[in-house]
Amino acid sequence: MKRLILACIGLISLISGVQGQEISFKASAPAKVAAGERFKLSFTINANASGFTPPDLSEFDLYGGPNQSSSVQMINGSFTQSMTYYYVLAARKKGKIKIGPAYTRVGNGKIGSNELLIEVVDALPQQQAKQSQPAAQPGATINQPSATGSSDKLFIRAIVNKTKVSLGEAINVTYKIYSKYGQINFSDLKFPTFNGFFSEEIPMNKNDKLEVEQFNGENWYAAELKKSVLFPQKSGKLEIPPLEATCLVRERVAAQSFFDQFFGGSVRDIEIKVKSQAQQVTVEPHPAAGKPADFSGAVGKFEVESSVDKTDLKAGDALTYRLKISGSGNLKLLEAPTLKFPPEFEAYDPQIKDNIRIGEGGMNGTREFEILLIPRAGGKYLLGPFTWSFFSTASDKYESVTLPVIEVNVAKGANDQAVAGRAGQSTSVKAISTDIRFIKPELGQSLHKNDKPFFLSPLFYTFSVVPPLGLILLLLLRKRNNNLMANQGLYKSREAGSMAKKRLKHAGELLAKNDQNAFYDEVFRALYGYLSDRLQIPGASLNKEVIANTLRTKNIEETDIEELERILQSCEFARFAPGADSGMQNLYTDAEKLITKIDKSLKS
Amino acid sequence: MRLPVFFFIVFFLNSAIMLAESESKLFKANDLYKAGDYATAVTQYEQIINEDGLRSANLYYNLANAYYKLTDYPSAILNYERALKMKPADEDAMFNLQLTNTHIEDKIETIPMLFYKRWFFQLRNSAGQDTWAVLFLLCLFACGGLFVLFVQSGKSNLKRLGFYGGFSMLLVSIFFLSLAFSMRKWQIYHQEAIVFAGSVSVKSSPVENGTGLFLLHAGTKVKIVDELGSWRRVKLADGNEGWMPAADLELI
Repeated sequence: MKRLILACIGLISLISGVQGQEISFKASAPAKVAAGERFKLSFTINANASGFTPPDLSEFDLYGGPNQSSSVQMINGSFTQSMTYYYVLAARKKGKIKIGPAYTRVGNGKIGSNELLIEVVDALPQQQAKQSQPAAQPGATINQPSATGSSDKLFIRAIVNKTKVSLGEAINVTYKIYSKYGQINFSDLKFPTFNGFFSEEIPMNKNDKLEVEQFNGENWYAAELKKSVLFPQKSGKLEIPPLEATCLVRERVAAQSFFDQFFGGSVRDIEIKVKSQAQQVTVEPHPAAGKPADFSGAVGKFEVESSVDKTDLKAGDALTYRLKISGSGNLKLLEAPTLKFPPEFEAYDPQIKDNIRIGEGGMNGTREFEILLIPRAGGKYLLGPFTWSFFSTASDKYESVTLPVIEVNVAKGANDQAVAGRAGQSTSVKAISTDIRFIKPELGQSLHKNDKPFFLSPLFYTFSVVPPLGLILLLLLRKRNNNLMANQGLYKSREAGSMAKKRLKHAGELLAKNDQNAFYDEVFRALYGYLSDRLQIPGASLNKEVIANTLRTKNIEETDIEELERILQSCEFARFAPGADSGMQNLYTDAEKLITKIDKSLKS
Repeated sequence: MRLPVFFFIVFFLNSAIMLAESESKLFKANDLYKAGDYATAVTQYEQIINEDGLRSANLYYNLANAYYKLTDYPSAILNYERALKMKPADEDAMFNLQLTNTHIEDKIETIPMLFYKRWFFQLRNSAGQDTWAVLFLLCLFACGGLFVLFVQSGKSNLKRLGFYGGFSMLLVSIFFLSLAFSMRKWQIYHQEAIVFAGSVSVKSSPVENGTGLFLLHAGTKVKIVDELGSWRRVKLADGNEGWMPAADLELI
């Protein structure tokens, strides 16, 4: 049951498919033929038709037809059928011939085909349509390899649309074969390799037939062999290399026998090697003046736009930045521009999406760079402004396009990797690019002439001799001073005896006057003064003990020391207890004796 | 008596005015640099050096920066080296020079110095010869003072301090003097130059058809060790030696 339903649905859809299709009845024939050349005129209808009324074909010689062929196709469930009626015809004379519509019947309706206008040109010499016959007389075919091949009946042209271009500008090159022969077989085709060019082949109809074309006032059979778009990659004179072909053509030879003549004469195959001319193209480099820093070789006419798929996202989420370059020029050669995204963004290598058509005018379409960006930290970021430059072939100038700045808000992700990473370990500062450090705007060390340095200048020498000289001077002074001091002491000690004698003499005078106090005082001072000078002991630190000790070290006899102490004692006593005048004369003589004795023993 | 004084004052004022003019020229050139007009800044800087005959480490440094921005790397190197000759411990100049050297063709391996030599040069280059001379004088004076203390003092510990202190000060002052001499020798006799020809072949002998030993390119620093006519015998940092024409060199 289910199957039946399915089958019904299929049938219905099939029928509706046929009904939905538009019915067309089309006539087709080459637009240009040579007089006497055979060609095919066909009428195609894409429906089941019945009955065929041909147009008036009385202007043509009829070689065959009407033949009928039909085809039925079922592709992906859609059903198509077509029927074709065809004639093989040849025009009798040159001129324009109109073929009226043919009629057929589809269902209940009558349908007419389109009209055709065929241009008939001069008949070609050697034009022999033997395509249908060679199998009939293989024996007559002479395979004759080639030196006989003459290129006045066959040649290849390389047609270049420009001979002076700037670097990267498109050039069209078309290799076209021209022939007087109606049929050519290629036994060898050497396609050139374009050195110094980036080449792209323009796709052609595979079944291109020979078409009649006028060249240098003659009619030729012509066909395009190869069509390419070239983009010069270096400047200077570049050569577009020739295309070489080895062709086999069939040529009628004079009939050798009656039979040959009866069957239409004999033919032979000849091999002809033909080669196109090499073409010179002058490629001019891009002007150095005004060359933008971001110019990367784009030549043509372009428009650029940029977009992002979202402007609000979380850190760690991906963002796609699209840069779309559209226009015409060397699109396939465009490199991804180096865009400086904020350093917090991880940028992946751009994905390239192309929608490029290759045609006569070069490449047209768009090339899109998709860059995946992953922000690693939250914040507000500005993408851009980016500039992109190309060389405009229209104005021969560089043109720069500035893309608008896109603002992106990145929220802190919950599992923000970068932040989490930072909590544990700090990342080192990323170098974005290198540049020299800035100038020093302050004056710094003041401007000066190349004057003499202080080092080793007279002033320097003066300063450097001050300390040693000062030191030497000080030492000399000190030495002299010391000498003087030493001399004074010696003098005093030498003169101590006579000083004491003078004092004692004065004491003697006082004794005679009986001035008790002054006498004792004088004796005391004579002894003290003598000992102070003689022993070189300053008066302030002089007392009996010091004197006794010093004298002992000088090996003075103990009795003398005792005598000295006795005299000094009695002097002191007498000074503080006046009245006791006994022994003034004795004391005087004793002191005189003692001084002489001590002086003597000190000198020894 | 009054006339010479008058002339002296006039002369002094005149030179002071000229100096002020050059300084304002320098500031103007700095402003041009900031505005990105490097070519005009270069001519201004060069005017101060060549016409006014004035120089300073900062002036050479700024000029070198402007040359760098104009991508004239040999001239930039020359002026960084000149700035460093006046102020050997300038870190900015050293950094920029290092960066500029990455833009020139020749990469020359320097022979590493022995560590104590390197330390000595580092210390020496941290100040100018006059600074070392002044330090020498200060130490010499301190040394003298301490010896006076030694001679004059009665107290034995002061005497000892004076003696040992004076001696150590003497040693220190001799060290400073040697630094000053070394610096002076380097600044006066150590002749270095920058190669200014695009590419020059260094020959084994000072003649045109001498055997070419190696090629030098613009921006390379060489040491001049000898001269003969218009030829200079140069030595590279890696120890290679040869003769090249003086016209291709610019003295630092």
